[in-house]
Amino acid sequence: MNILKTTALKKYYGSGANLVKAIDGIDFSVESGEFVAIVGTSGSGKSTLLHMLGGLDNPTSGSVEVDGKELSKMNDDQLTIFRRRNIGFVFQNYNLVPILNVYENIVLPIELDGEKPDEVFIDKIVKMLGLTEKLNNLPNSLSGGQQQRVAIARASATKPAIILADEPTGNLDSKTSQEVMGLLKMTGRQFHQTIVMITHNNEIAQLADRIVRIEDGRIVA
Amino acid sequence: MLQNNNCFIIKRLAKATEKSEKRLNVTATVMIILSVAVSFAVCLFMLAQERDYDLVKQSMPQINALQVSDDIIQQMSKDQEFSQVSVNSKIADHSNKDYSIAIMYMDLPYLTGRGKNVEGRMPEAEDEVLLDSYYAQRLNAKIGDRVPLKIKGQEKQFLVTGMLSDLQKVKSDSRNYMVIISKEFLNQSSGPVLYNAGLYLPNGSRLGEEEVKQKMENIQQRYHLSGENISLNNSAFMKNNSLQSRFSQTGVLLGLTIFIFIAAAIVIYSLFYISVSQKTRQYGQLRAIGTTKKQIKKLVRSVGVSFLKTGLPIGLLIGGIVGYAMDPNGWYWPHTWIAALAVACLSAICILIAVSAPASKAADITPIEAVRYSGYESTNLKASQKMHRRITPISLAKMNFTRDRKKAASTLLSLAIGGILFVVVSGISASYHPENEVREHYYPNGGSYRISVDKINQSQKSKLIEKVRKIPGVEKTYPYYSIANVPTSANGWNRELNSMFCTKNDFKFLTHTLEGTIDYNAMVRENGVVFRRYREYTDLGVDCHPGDQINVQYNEKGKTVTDTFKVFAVVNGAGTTSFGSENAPVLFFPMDTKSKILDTKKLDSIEVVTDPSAVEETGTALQNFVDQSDGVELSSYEARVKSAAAMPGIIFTGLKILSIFIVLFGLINYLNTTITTFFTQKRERGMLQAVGTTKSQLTKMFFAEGIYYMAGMLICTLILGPLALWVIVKAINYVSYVFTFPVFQILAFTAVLLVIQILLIIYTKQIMQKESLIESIAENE
Repeated sequence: MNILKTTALKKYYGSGANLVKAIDGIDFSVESGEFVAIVGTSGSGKSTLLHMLGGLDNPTSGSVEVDGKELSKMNDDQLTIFRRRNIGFVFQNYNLVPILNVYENIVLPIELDGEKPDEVFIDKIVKMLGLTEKLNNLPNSLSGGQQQRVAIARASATKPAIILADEPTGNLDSKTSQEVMGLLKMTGRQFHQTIVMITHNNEIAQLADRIVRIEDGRIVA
Repeated sequence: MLQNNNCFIIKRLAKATEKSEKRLNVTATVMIILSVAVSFAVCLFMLAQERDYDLVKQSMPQINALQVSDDIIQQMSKDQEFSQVSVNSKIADHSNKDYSIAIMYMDLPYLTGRGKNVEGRMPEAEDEVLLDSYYAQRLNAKIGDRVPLKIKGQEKQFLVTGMLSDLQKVKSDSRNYMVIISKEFLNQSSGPVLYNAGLYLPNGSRLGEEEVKQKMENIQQRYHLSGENISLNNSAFMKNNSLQSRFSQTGVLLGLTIFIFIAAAIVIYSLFYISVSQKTRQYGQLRAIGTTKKQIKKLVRSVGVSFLKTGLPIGLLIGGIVGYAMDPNGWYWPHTWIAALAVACLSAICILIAVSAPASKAADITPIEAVRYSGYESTNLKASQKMHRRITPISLAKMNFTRDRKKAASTLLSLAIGGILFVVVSGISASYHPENEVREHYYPNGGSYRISVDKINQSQKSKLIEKVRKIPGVEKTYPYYSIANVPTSANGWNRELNSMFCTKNDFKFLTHTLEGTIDYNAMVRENGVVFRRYREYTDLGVDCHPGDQINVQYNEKGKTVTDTFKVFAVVNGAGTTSFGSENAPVLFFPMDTKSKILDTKKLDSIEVVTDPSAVEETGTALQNFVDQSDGVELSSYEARVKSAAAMPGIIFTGLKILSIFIVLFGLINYLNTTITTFFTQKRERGMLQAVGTTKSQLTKMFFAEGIYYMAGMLICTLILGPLALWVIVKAINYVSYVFTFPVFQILAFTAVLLVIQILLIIYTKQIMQKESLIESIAENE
């Protein structure tokens, strides 16, 4: 079953002689539980694609469906709430809230929904990611790898339909990168989560179930 | 030796910093301009007022001659002993519940000597008048118009030839108006005309009091005047030029200026603190490439000095223009230069102090901090005490509020200072109850009117009282008796003092006892007297204590007699009633005193208690009676209250304007902090939206953070403001000031704060609508 599907997705910037075709007609789908890596060089359009998959940006034309829901039909608030409940993000710069501790960062999307966190589930994630001793810590006391683990935990906490990871190892050294990738894959397997990751690193991409290459705004392989 | 030859590069960096931070640039410069302009204008205004008074004093006569005939005036005018003789004569008084009018003849020197300015010309013909400018506004009259005036019960039309105003331009409407008639009109009135004259001695403003006293005694003998008809003009010798007075005035000016600059300095500190926090990476990078701590400090200070160089001259110019406009007559270049120099020095000191802490913070940034800088506005804590704090927009707002305690504290402090000052100033105005003072000082027996009696009517006094009692609506009358200029000596001093004779009932109203006890019966038995302590007299050494013996001279059947009295009590001159006497009595004798001094008493005034349901009608009847009688004047309680209410008008207005500026400083700081934080947290906001925070949740969070600031400010204001107000009212310690919390003003103030917060929300919401989520997340990557 396709958890994610794009149809003739386009994203153009500017007009006339200044027209930039960041995404130029992408038909793309991901099955439930799959781990897909989107690989491309700088300026290939991979980040733009990821932003549209997550509803962070609006396509010029075409559609994106996540878990059967078309994102373009939602208004800003609906999209935000949809994102909160169904999409987990892992950013290159971790993007943790500096005034919240590790635990609070993890449960942030759940509490924003007014819901109570599933403590058993949270506990599992925390243990799996080795964050048990760090729950009271604030992000400024954590290393890059630790922060990224918190980001992964936050992305997984709402049991989203899909996790989107934007260069999750971009700011990490090779050893930590391997570690974080391992955890990401393990989390995905353990909780049957679909993961779409963008990277420029072929080696990292090899850990995925499927690699999709993007070039000049189009999927080439 | 390695040399640090870096002035040029530091200046370049400072200039670049200035250019890159438009908000800091504009806000800091505006703060400096405002603070310099306000303090300079305040200094110039106060100095101008002082100068006005000095100028008025210089044009005051040294000696007053009272109730003298035209012949004597003519002789005095030709007398070489006097450089000038100015005259006035009162024709009538007219009073209603709103204002009172004194219809008088005064020549131009007399008017100038009283600090009056004449626009137009003096009245010459019988039907010409000079009007008080505020009275003219009431009548909607201008020069050249004809106005109706009632004099001695007869209404006539008069041509307005000129307007009277005060030399000290910013005096408010006192509701006591003068209408000046011509000498022609005066000459038409029946009966002999008696004048009050102001006698100017050559170089009089340079003569000492003792010297003038001797000349006065000489004049008294030459013109055969009694002691009651000649006196020193004490106003001309008032010691407001004393070192103590100058010192206290300079102290007040300095205090006000420093206060304004402290308020501005807190804002400047906050601005620079936020700027330095945002530039962590840049300062760290500078340190990494070899900039020393001293150079970084110099860089930050240079930015501050640059703002000062721009803001100071503009502020001085604006302040100078405003200060001049407020009182052009008092403008004096030496004062202006001194004030400008003082304000410039104080502003420079305050700004440099304000900038020094952020400069040190910038200098302390290490290169490693620059490397690790994430672009987030971080917190200093490493861990939270609680593992799970509830996460809602309001709890996030609270965490954000406490994230940087120094920033929050400096913003709250500048807001709170403004708020507290606003409460104090509004509270002083609300606590001012002039009716208390008027009642206690002029109408202690609850009267609605007072009839003042001139000395010439003493033989008719008992008939007068009877006539007044018979007027319809008059329920009770309370006559007050006094004597003026009684030669008195005690404890090595001697002075002519004004005195009153009081009944047992009257003594009840002498409530502000400083020393001793007022025992009426004992005072009658033991020839006692109560002494009223005035600061103006104690400055001259005129003082007494209970138990002191004072000697009082009076005239008994043509002979000068001296009686000795024992001081039973000392009362406070500032607070104690004077039973409406305009002569500021110092000694209070019991009406049943056995001393023959009682025979010299003169009816000073009659307090009239009316039927409460017919106050106005009784007033009209009393006015008609007064119009048809000689030597009596009517004044009303209501008019007096309105006049007293208007008196501190300018001071209250000035203080309110000052408090508004200080509140404005706090609000500028708050707005700058909030808006800067809003833009600084753009990436954080983007991230929160990415993980599912809606715009309305973000708006709620932002609003809640603003409410925390407002609530913090209101708490400080509502606790410390009333406390400060209470302390000040207690310190003033005067009957017309009763602690009153300014409820309405605080509610209005709170409403304004809420409106500002709502406008801020609207603005930030608009910004958020336009913000691209992708750009927000990507910022600083």
